[in-house]
Amino acid sequence: MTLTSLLRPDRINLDLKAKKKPEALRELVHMIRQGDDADLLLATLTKREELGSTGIGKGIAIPHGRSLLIDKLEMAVGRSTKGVEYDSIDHKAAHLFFLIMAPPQDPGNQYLITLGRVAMVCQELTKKKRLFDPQTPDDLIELVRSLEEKIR
Amino acid sequence: MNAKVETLRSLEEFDHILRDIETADYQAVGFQAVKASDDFIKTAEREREKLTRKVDPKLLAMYERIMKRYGGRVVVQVIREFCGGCYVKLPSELASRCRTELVTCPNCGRFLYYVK
Repeated sequence: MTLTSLLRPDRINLDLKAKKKPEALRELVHMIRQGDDADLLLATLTKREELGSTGIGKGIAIPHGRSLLIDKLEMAVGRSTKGVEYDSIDHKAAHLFFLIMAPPQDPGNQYLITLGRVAMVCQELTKKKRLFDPQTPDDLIELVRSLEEKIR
Repeated sequence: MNAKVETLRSLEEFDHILRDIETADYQAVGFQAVKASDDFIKTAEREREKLTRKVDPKLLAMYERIMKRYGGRVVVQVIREFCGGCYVKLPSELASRCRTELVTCPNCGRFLYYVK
């Protein structure tokens, strides 16, 4: 399963308004669920963040979790030009967010494989300083596609 | 959501986190605990321990038994009066009660909860 196959233009927001972590998580979650479901997903993500930030540094955060509300792997992407206070491991603001939600059990453990692929693609993105290149959701999907091909 | 169900649901999500963070794939991503000096797995285990103290021992034993049996999906959503775990049709009265009470599926024994 490629990252590109999990990305949808309507689940990519290149202009997040959030300034802090809880607001950023809320904006991301609302791209995939609404109402009570969104609140439960948010609680799942918050619990994970309490154990340690999913901000892996260099402007990247990968909030993630398994939830009983999710049937198959789902993703949303957000970007903030100004940056979000995210308690990242390098203590710097996070700019690009890949939200990954998975069901409690998934065949072939695609969730963990996807998590790893996102991390690798993000490394390439930061190495090449291309975080702010995409102007549209389709641009971002295309960029991820090209980077993903290189890490195969 | 019933408070007991909510605690059990939290516990199950913790167990999924624990299962994942122990894998090499997960560790390779480079996530760290709140204090970088802390062991990530031990931090999660401590938090789980705190959560289990909030659960009635009998319920906890039921939870552990179902988790062992199915490996996940211990606390499941009721979807249009069907159990979200084994998909058996639930009696209407039972499906309705799970909105306010702790109820288990008569077929698979999973804990049921209702989301609007």
